[in-house]
Amino acid sequence: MKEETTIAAPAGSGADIEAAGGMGPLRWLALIVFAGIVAVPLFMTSPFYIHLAVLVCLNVTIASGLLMLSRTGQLSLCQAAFVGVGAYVSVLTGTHFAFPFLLSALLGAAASALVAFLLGAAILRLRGVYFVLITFAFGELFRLAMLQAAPITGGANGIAGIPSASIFGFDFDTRKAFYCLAAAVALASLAFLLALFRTAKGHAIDAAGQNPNLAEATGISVRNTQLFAFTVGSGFAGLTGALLASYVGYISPESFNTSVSIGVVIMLVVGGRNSVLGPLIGSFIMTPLPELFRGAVQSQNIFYGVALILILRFLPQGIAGLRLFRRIEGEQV
Amino acid sequence: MNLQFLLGQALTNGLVIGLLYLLMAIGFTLVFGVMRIANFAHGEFYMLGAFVAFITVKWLGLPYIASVLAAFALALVLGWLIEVVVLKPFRGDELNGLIATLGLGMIIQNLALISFGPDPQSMPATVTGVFKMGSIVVPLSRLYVVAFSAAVLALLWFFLMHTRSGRALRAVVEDIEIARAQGIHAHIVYPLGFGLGVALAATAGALMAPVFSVSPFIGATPLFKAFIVVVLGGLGSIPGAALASLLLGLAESLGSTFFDGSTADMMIFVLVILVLVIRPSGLLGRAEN
Amino acid sequence: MAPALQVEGLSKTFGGLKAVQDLTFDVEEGAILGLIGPNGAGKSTAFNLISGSQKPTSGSVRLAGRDITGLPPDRVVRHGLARTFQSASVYSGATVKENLFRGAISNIDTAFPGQLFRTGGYRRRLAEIDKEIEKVLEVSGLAPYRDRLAGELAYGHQKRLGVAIGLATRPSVLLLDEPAAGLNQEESAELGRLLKTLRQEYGLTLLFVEHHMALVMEVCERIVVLVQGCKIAEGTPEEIRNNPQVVEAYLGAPDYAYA
Repeated sequence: MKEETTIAAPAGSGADIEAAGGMGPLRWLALIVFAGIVAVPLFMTSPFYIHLAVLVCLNVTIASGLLMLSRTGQLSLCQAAFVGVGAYVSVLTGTHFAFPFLLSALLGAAASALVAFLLGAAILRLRGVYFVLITFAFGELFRLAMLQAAPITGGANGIAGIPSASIFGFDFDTRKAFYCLAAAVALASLAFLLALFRTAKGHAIDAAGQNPNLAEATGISVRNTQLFAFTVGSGFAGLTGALLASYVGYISPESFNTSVSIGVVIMLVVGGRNSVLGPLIGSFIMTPLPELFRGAVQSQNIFYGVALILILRFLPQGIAGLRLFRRIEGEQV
Repeated sequence: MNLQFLLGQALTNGLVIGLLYLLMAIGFTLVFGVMRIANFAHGEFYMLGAFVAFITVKWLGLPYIASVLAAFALALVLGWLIEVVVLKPFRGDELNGLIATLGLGMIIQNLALISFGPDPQSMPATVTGVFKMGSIVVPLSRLYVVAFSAAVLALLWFFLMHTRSGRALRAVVEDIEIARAQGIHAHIVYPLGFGLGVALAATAGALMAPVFSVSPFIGATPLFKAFIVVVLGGLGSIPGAALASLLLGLAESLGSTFFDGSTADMMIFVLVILVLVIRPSGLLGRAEN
Repeated sequence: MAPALQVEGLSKTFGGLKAVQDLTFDVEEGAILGLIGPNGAGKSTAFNLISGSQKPTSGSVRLAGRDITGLPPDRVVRHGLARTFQSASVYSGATVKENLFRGAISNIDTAFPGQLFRTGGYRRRLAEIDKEIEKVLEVSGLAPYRDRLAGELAYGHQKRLGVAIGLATRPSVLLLDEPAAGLNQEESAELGRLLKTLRQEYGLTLLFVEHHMALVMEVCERIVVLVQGCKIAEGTPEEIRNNPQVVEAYLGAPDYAYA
């Protein structure tokens, strides 16, 4: 697909670096199927299935944030903590200063991005694995800090009775209404990723991830690229945190602990770490999975562990690395 | 309760905890040095070691020293097998190897949950009584930990310095490029490095089992501390790990004398970040290239 | 006018071991200079010191009179000094053209929001870069492979792509780390022609570290000889060939056979 457009593009337009392939029949079909899947929850009556659909959307956004960092060749084990920063900041600014939801959600996202920027600026100049260890430690510390700051955060009891989201007078107080909001945010995050990976910055991200020495040697600062991805990706997480808090109505430090972060990593590995489709596929598969293991949390976790190792071993590009999905994404196969 | 007493007590406790962290951190740094994998399942081997000690002492009635040896040996064998069966394809692959150990940790912890249930269980103390030196009081059980850890570390030192396999292992940890040029006996060095590393974690778990309680969740904290130690000391540096664990043990013990535990943890985290900003390769780590 | 590249008193010590000692030489604009020496002579260290991947213990590196000593590689490139790698270093999962585009990224100064919303300035810059890339593709002879994945190219072509990526950064000086390593005789002769073409087309100044003596003698106008971290000779290929010190150093070195 790519080949066709490259030849078709007029020389000197720069179009073939930008475009990720034209709209072949396969991509139209994929788009129609995708639109169908997005629309299905609107016609469902079971509140439980709509609830699952909402969670899928929220997870897509969280995992999309991590995807950016992962494509720079780095990994964070505190994505849940950034969801938490966004959740706490939006809830606290909403209740204490009576800010409207939109403002406090944006503040939440900005706070997550700021914390990530500061943390990243301090530790991203260290070699790769230190960063992962520190993010793990940071995730733990965030939880401890929220427990400690009980007068503000409610400690282990968390904060309950969080009002539902309301934007410009419209209340997202039913599951279906909230699904529309969550789906819109998830689609926007996917659109952002698609657009990002066509810009020079997106190419710099892939360059840094695929061959850091070469990237440095051609004027791309790997550290700054990773810092950018970490900051923006954590902003995504923060925004989702605000949404999550308003949807569930309750947050506590345990909602954002390290196993939640690891869950996001698993989603990304299963879905595919190098593809925009990865977060989508990963959330779609992993979010409803606990339902299959209803009540058997331990077997579920063992299954996750085994699946993780098998996928790393035999399908390192995740499910999005399968031929069908690579063709949909418009890569040369 | 004067200040001198508090300080003395804190220093002694700090030494005990520091030695425990050292066992964890040296194992972790050994695994990383050999395989280039940050082993996120390291804490689970600590937990397994504690359960081995618990079972051998409480159910089988073996003497305590035998239970520590059993924990070490079982973890060595298990680690060896896991390396060969699961981790072999990830040797040298920093990112995928790390993620694979996350999966490994989940598997081990949940198998333990299925086998032993989530509730903490307590093991009979090995010895009772206290050791008094001036106004400082140390429970004998903690002195045991000190003696055993020191013995294990001495044995490890002897192994690494004076045996053939030990030297081969050290060569890989110290300079993988040179070791590779001279030829690595991959079928021995990798499983041995991983097995020995996790066996040290299991030993730490077995040593601490009588002091703390035993449950499938106890691996998380030592793992967290091992991270702090290796980051602070410089990944791959054994002297760095030694210095950092003692410092961390003392700092924590002092910190928690005057603040509560979580506050002390948070202050230490900030301190670690500051150290890294000033010295990116850790206290004693070598700078990259 | 200042020389394109000035290396002055450059030294690097690794824990007491002097890898490079007081290295001084100039490269005039448009010249091709070869840095040679037996294995372990400190060539690679010198290369890394100049390109910024290692920091010198003392001494300075100037690019057209501007001090770039100790700057990290990504900054050095932005000042106009690009490097290639000894092994074929490419983005193997990306097409040849994408590889070159990534090489040119540092020349895009549009901020990210501008890129995202495709402002006029950004689009113009992309079009410019596209033209440059087309030219690099033509000059390097990679045009027929533009849409092939870099990882699928033959080794010789991958090395050529490595040079082309360096070229895409718009350097004034190009540092080549053993460009002929791993190439057969024919490929390395082709490479020699390519390097001469590059100088013609782009007015480039070239400095390369090389083991392959035939290529050095064929392409370079000046040669600097390093032995045990010290410069022992500098001159034209003819002078170097007849320099008794150089002959002795090479005869004394076990790897003379390769040279």
